[in-house]
Amino acid sequence: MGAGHTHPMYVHSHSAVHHLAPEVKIAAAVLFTVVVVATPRELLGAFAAYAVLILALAVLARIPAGWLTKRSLIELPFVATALLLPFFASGPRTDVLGLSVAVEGLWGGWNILVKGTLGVLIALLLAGTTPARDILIGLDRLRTPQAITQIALFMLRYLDVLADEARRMRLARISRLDDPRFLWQLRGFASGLGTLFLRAFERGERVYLAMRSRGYTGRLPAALHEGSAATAGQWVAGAIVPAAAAAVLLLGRFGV
Amino acid sequence: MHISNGIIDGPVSLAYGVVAVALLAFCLGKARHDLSDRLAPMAGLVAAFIFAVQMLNFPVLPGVSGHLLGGALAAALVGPWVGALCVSVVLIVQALVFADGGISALGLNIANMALLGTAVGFGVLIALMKLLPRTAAGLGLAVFLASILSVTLASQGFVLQYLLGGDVPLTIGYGQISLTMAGVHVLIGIGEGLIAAVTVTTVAKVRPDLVYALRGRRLDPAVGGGSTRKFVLAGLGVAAVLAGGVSYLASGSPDGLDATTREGCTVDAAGEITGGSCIAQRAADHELGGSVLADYGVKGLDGSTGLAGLIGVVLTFAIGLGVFWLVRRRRAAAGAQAPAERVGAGN
Repeated sequence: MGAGHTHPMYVHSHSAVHHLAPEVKIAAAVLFTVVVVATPRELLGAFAAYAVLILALAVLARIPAGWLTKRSLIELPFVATALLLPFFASGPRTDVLGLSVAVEGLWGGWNILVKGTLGVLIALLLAGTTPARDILIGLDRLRTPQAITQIALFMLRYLDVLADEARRMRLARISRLDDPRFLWQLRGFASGLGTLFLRAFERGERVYLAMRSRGYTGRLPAALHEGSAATAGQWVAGAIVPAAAAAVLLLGRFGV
Repeated sequence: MHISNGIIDGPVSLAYGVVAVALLAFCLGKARHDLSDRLAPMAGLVAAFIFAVQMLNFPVLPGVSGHLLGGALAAALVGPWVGALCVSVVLIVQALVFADGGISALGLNIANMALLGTAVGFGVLIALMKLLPRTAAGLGLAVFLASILSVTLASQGFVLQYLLGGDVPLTIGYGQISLTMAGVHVLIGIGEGLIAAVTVTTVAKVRPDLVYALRGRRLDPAVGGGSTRKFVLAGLGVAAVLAGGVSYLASGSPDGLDATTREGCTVDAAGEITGGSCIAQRAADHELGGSVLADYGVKGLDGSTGLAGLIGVVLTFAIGLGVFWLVRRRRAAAGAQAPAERVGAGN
């Protein structure tokens, strides 16, 4: 705790991208992702253009390249899938570096690799420039049902509390000479989880009663959602990137 | 494991997204009925719990680690509606805030892990609770089996999605993908099931009112005072039987899938012409086609698919155990030299 009210993915800074209203950024990220996924895999130029767009955004948002690279490692399992595909796909085969691989599989692997990577980078840009709470407020302004955003707000707020609780329980176990190893630790681990659930649920009951006694009626106070809603100018600014991506896609398919 | 962008094509992702939104809206209504205005704080804490649980990875095979999906666990503790809702919220936050799982694949992930996983888990759990005694062991066994089936069927959900919208026709055929996925996920499911079973019985002993699956009633006291070791052994035995049984069943339906791929001989699942020969034909020319366990049946035995599945599961499990044992010994040797590090490594 004591790390402030952000989340580990947030990169603190004061760029134009950081100051854009969250709902604009979410809409732009979703649209950009949709355009990337809808692009036929043969349009190599289009993917290069998307990468340039993302790079420009990262520079504008002052997100360090090392941070982006490290965080995008989350995608690794799918890179493995992409690398395996050329060997398991059917269709005509070709030789690459002395290995016989399927052409269709090469394209398929490339498809997963490029779309997965671009998608992760877009999501990372969104997460890196927007505090988690703002993302949820943005979702709320985009007319996501209040129940969903409220649950998510509570979840983020108590995630660290629960993680710390689990850490303390584990430390207590180890300092009482528990020696966790492979399957035999499963029992201690799982009954610990049971206790964690009990504590989480009972904490939820206490939180609810505390909120109830302060006038909670099932909706969060409107004050939480007031203030910096997106202006028309921000919407236009936010539309630039997905619009550029869509233009690249259309140009690649029908033009030139 | 969360599906990322680009694995399943756009139209199928979109269709799954629409279905997921519709079903979530339905779950939301039901969840409100369960929790009324307590919904947000309670479900929020449960979602945080599931998020924390999902962050824990455990080794399945060397190089393959699984994490809890939590569908059956959530269904047992808070019921199918709140459970599906909580797992969905976890997936949404993971996609938007932690870049885990593609944004365009959100509908696919919610459909597999939140909706299918929870629904199957709860259905199996309720059915088994009717059959088994209402003791701690009975409840644990029911949760254990429900978790395995829930995880395995969620993986089959992915296979279906790939069949509908996968970009690349494969040589190995959907029946075998389905079997491979089922095999790996039965192992993950056993891990998940053991953890979920102990978790739920722990809660049930202290506060039975918090276990949705018990419907507000207490557990019956155990008759013979069955020890945990007996329970674990029985559980593993059932798992082995199930592993054989599940792969036997799984081999039945993919034959249907294989037949479909064979039917459309010049057209693959994505609607593209592959040219002359079909997936199924090529699958027959697999390099290991002559091996003893080829086509997941033991040679010379008819209908032995389940047996082959069982042998496969036991073999992979044994190999995994052996490798882990070696690693552990090495680590124990290293740990003996620096015993003080162990407490530090507890974080």
